[in-house]
Amino acid sequence: MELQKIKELLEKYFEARTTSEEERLLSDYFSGSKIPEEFSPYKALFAFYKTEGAQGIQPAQQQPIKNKALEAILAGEEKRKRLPYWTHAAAIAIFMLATYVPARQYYQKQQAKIAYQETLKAFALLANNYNKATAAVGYLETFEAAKSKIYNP
Amino acid sequence: MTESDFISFISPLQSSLYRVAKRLLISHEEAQDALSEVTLKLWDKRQQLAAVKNLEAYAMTMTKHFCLDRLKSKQGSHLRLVHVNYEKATHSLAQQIEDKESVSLIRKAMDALPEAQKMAVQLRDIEGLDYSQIEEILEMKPNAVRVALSRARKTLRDALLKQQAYGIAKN
Repeated sequence: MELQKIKELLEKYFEARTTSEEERLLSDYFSGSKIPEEFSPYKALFAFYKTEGAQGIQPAQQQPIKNKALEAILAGEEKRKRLPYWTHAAAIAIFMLATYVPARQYYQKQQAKIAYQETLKAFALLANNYNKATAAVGYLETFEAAKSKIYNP
Repeated sequence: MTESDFISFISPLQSSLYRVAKRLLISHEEAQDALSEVTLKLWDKRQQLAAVKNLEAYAMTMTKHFCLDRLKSKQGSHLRLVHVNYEKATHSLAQQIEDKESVSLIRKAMDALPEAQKMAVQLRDIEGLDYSQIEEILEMKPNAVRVALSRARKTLRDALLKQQAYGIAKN
């Protein structure tokens, strides 16, 4: 860019009548190389704006900015995204119920099996005794026959 | 404004709010505290923020008010001390050498500017905002902003020209 144009822009700049576009032109020009010696103060000024504007963006240059409030808000947001506590309780309850119900059913089944077997045992005993009794009745019949032979010759 | 809207609005503004606060309060710690306080205030108001037209300018204005209040309040006297310390520190040899560097010279010249001029340069030349936003933040008429900005820029230029003329920084 020709020097005359830069000088005009600088004049406008110090009267605060430059547009954003013109200020960008100046900034670009002064961040380039081969700046005439007479312009070195302006070069320094525009370089200063750049370094000051980079503060807090490049952490290596500056101490990083700490914003305790924002950190707290972000932490709160993280917590909000997590499930509320009652869901934890509900999960435990569902787990307990899910394990308890089949366990109970299994236990009841086992109990029923035992009872069935006990019943079978009881029936077997009954049948056994019944057979014994029938056998005994058999003897009674012999006895009855002998008796009738004695009393009714 | 929802929580996540708020976070996506405030996060990119962090560094520019910090820089404005640091320009006014000078100390890094004070600027951080200011940033934190302003974030908190905005957070509390987040329900009303939907009605705000220009959120960036709104946050900036709030930061400006907060910092100026800090400077005016009793704690402001403590801040003055920080400022004095800061200037005293420059008497060390290392600082004196650095003083010859233009950056610290301009920084000092800027610190010495009246608040409105300081803010005008910060917002326009450093943060690169539009005039309309600067008018809103500084609560000044367009003409007044331009006058303040012009004066500030000329002061900075004169400080640099003086340095060039004498070859050394004048404190």
